[in-house]
Amino acid sequence: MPAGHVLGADQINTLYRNHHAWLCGWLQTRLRSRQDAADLAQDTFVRVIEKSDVLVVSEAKALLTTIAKGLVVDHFRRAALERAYLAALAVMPPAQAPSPEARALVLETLVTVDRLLRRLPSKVRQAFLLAQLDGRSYADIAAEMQLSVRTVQHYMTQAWRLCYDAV
Amino acid sequence: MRQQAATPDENMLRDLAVGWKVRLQSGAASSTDWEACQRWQNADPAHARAWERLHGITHLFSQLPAQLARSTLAHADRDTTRQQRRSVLKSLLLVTGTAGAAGLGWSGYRWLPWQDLVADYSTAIGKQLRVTLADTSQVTLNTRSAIQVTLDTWRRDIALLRGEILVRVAAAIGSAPLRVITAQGAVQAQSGRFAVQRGDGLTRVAVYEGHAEIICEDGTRGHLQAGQRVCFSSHHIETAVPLADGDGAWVDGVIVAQGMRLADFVSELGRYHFGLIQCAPALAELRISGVFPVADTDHALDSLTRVLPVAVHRHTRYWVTVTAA
Repeated sequence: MPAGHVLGADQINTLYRNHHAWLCGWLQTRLRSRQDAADLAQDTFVRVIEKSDVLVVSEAKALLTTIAKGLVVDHFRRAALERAYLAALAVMPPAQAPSPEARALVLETLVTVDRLLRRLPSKVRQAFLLAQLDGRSYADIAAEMQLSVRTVQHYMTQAWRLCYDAV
Repeated sequence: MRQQAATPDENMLRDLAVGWKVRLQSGAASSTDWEACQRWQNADPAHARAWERLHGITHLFSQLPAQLARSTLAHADRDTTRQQRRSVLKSLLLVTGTAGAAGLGWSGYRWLPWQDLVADYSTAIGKQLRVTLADTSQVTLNTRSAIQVTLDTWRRDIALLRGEILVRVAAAIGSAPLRVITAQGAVQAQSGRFAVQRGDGLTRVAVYEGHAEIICEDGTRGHLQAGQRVCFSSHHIETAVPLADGDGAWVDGVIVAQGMRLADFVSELGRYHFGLIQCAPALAELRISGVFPVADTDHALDSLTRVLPVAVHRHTRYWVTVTAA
């Protein structure tokens, strides 16, 4: 808890009292789970408190909503990845599946990779994954996706730039 | 996610590094290309750093089994698309771009439900658990911790997925050392007693009996003797320091504070409290001493008010602040 980088207790108190109830309600209509809503509301407040030195009170609601929306999207995406991961593991021959202790780490890496690639157009992402995961040559990828090698190069440049900026 | 205003120079540097990466990865690169890229990296430390940054991403992908990764991402996309059709989410997804751009990704997610799903043993906030493994080694899990255990002829591995554990290693002649694996590497010992804690990008180790070996993810190795503790990252081991008296006291369910900063105490106590305990910045440097049971954080907080000029405000069950009285 870095001192001097957080809101004063009074401000937190006011923020919490004025906004906690509606934020929980707002989240609950989206998540349909009281428990998840309470957790994400808590996360939202923690973000605001950790990231703000001063808070303009008139903007608190907008800020909380923006942060909460981001967390809701992440929440669903993470849940989708977890379900997909468990489903993929279930159909995998045991010999090819990662060892039990590596499973959690692989999922963590997948979440990171997914976050990096999320903002890429789907074709760019597809081409990038073929190169990174399978080590395919650009000529190979171009043939498979029915694109010119030049376009593949262009896609890769776009993807690498975005990844570079994001890490 | 890094969100800095990139200068034109930085963008140029990035584009040069990306240019090399694309050329070398294309499958049509010659040895002359590789050498030229190496010369470019050697020409300027900034070049080398830019290259290293791209290399980190390559490394990330190299850790993924291709088939499993592809199938998971494709499945998740279909799943997410289905979700998008639901009207409640439509409006939300429109803001993904802005939320992402503001750096509000999911870094620092505090609670990862799947870590309980895959874990062999886990504890909730404020709970501790002592288990005896098949080789008679004993593991104590501290608050909000999760482990996964693999014991067979060749391995005695404990993956520490979250939190903190104390391990008493059962010495067994001819058997593999007991390894505790974290995101930064592994700690192993043939016998003795040591504690491992996962931190943010760091693993903390304390050795109480015997000695342990640390192996960082990049292969860097180090030794730790009884009475020492140390932090290590995936590529660096800090200098070992002697254990403090309070280290390891959590096993007995207490925090031992000796002239501890109030801010540090509150943050430590917060590990055992479901929700957030916060300390007013003006009080951060107050020093406290005492032995505080962690099973009852409310009691520990109340005892603060008796020894220090502070008040404890409970806004809700989860939300507590410590302010000046």
